Amino acid sequence: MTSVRSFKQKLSHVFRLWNSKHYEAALGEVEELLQAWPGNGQLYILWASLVQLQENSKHSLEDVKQALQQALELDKSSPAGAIELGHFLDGVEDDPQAASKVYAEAVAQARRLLIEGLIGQAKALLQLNKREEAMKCLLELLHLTETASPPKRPPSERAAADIIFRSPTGHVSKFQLNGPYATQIEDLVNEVLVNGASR
Amino acid sequence: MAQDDDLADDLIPGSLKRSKSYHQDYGKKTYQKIKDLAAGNPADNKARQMKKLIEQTERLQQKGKGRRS
Repeated sequence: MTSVRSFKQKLSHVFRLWNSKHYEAALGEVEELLQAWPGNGQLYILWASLVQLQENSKHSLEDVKQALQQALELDKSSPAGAIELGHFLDGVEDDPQAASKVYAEAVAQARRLLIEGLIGQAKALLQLNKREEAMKCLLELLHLTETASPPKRPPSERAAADIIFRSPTGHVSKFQLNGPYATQIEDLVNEVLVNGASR
Repeated sequence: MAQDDDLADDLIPGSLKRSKSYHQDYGKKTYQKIKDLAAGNPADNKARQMKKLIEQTERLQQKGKGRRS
């Protein structure tokens, strides 16, 4: 029971059981999967979610919290565990302060993933000569990177480096390139705006 | 989906009734009553916590929908 195909089949069964409110049976299936795939963080999230839905669980809410923390440890690149832990801290433990810290990490992770996805998508679209769609990716990227790495220099020092977009409706957006993705985004800006305009 | 006339005890599963946010004396109140109390000024703290438990339950139940892999 360790092939990817059988994993997917069993996971589909878990969600069918879940959807039909057979939470105990779904939990049993997840526990079997965890024995075969103990390093899978997503399974810990499912386990923690299903335990919370049980009527008579042998597991405590502390076990749930530990499972969510384990999910975080196992899959640090994914925001899913942190988002679920945030819901638990706020919804079950009524601790919005702890939840907000965990959510902040999750949102930062998710933003990084989205930025990387948009950079890749824009590059692929440019190869397919879909410049307008690449431009949409680029605009989203610029908004995201600005949120991820707000400019530290005062406006007077960075005005010359701003990228300025004027939409057809006259709306003007100004952006400052910052952070670890600045070079890649600058290349994309050149490709989409400068090279695209000269074609 | 939680209905406004559902009782809190029928909406919150046994596991979550072990939370410190669960208040047995509010278990027989309807979801609507709990929402009203939670939205009051000042907010009723027990109702606010019970509302969170109901919302958490509903969110977790919904996670099973639309997922097949």
